[in-house]
Amino acid sequence: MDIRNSNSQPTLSSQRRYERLQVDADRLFDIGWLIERLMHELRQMLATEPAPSPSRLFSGFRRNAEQRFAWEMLHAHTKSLSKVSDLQQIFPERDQLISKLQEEREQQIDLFSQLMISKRWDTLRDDDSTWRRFAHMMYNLSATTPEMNERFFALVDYIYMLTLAILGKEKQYFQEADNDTTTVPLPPTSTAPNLDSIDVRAELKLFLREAWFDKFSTDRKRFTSEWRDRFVNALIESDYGEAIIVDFTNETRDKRQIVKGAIVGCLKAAGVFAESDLSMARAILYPQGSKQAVGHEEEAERKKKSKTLSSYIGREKKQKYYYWVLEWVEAHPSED
Amino acid sequence: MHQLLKEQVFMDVDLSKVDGMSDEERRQFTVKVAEEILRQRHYGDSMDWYIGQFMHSDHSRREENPLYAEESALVDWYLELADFGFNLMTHAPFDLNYLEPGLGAHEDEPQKDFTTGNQRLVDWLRTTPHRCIAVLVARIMLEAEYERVVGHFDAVQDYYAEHCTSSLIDTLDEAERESYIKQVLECINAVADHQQRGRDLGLNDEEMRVADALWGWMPHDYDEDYVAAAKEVCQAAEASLPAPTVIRSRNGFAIYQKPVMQQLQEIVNHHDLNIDLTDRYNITIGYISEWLFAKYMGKELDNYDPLDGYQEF
Repeated sequence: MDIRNSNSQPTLSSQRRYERLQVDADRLFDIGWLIERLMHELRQMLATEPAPSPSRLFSGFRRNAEQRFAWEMLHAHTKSLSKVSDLQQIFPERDQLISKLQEEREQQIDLFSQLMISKRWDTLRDDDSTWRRFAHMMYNLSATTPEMNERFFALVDYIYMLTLAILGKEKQYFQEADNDTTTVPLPPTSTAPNLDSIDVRAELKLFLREAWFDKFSTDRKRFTSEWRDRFVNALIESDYGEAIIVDFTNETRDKRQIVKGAIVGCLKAAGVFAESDLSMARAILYPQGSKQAVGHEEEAERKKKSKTLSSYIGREKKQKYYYWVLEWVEAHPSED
Repeated sequence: MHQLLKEQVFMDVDLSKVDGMSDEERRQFTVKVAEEILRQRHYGDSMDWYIGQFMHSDHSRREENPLYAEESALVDWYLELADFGFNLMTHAPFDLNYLEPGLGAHEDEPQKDFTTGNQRLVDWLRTTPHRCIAVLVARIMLEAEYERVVGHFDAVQDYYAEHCTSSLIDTLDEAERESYIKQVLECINAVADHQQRGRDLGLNDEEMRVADALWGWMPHDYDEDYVAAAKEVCQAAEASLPAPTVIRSRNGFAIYQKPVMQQLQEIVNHHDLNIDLTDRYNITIGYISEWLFAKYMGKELDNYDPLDGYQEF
């Protein structure tokens, strides 16, 4: 006989929530979109104050739950990559690896679901308002401690990395990690600059010397034309130069505008310009601007082209050299 | 049978004096022996075995036990002990004065005594040398809380389920025992505090339930937006209820639920709470659906699955 049963059990809703976290994990934890949005948030914060002191930064986080959330989430981001790559090394066979990853993820989600805040995880949608509300709830919660928050971010990151590996999307992160061990083949441009690269340099230098640059520049004394030339040289000599040259000299499709737009976009993100993408695109394409009277159709055509270029400018985050540009601009404050 | 009981549970307990004990002596003796039996084997299995000799799991007599034919003070005491043990093991509230005179104030409704508001009981739990009985009493307190909240406060129910284990407590494991007692007292106090704060804000039970549901869990700080939304939601749900004379049915519930959920979505959007009411697996929606169904039916229901007959709207 066993009479010691009990009616203490969680509600059906809570059990259902747990099951959904497990069953729908591929969707719920594939949070690349969230990382991007948080990056954007922090970048905006740094745009208003490019180099805040740590004490200022953290006192700001105490007031602003959203920025704090972004900071802590990104701080933990890809930290657990090594755990996943360890698993990959232990289980080289794909089938075996996947089942192992899924098993591991199940356990981690189990731990994750024990955190109060995880009950809100499934309210996150690919937009800005849901994660902001989530962040406010997270830090509003009197019952949470910094350790619990740290645990939360660590778990989210680990589950995200496991999910990426399960979905086969982990390449973007693993390549960065692999670079340390494998030897990177030297780009040919670094040994002998070929004709293409010189052409590209010249064209880009001319492009950045045009009048629109000074018009929109945030600091004319700093971003002189010599500064711009050095930027172009450094960009072409960097690891990304090869790709730019390939795009620039693409014979099947003219990608010059795309590359130009992307570079302008990156510079804008680095704080070189402060103007809307569209008005910059218009000024680049039509330096004479409104002084020139044009017909109705011509005007529509101009609008269309400006829009296209502005969309290239707006794609700066997709560029591989995005961070490189940010760093370079920061490292070269003015003429030496 | 006497021999068997002695070999299995009583061992060297001197039972010869039971006949002739005063009521108070008997009470003390029973509690003492119960504690000893609980300490014999893991999870109080000895007590389980002992009770099984006298009664079925539904508390009915096991007539085949030859002792029932005997009439003696000792057999009466056997049964007294079995009854006491039964209450402890099945987590049934009993008259606490049996444990120690003065602990209980409601002889007829003993569940009212198993609360943290009963300061004497809390003190007893902390200081009594009968630790195995104490852990089971703490369990009864928790179960009494469950009785109170299941069907009324979903978020509280989940809070208990997440913070206090529902598996058996090993009566021999001192660390487990003590941490369980501590945990139960802390959780019950936390819930009481949370609900008191809600009442201080002028919320009734239903509004507190909805506020917890909208937030997703308890305890929380009663954010203004959520409190305001909870009040509006309760009003909307109340206003749309059909007249009491209308016969309730599942179909009728669907008709009731649809416009209420739409109103709810408007309220939620108005306060910018970011709740997607079409997401049926979300915990808030689960809580709300359960609450609406109980409200519509006018009584609490066992085993109601909010997704049964759930309609997309």
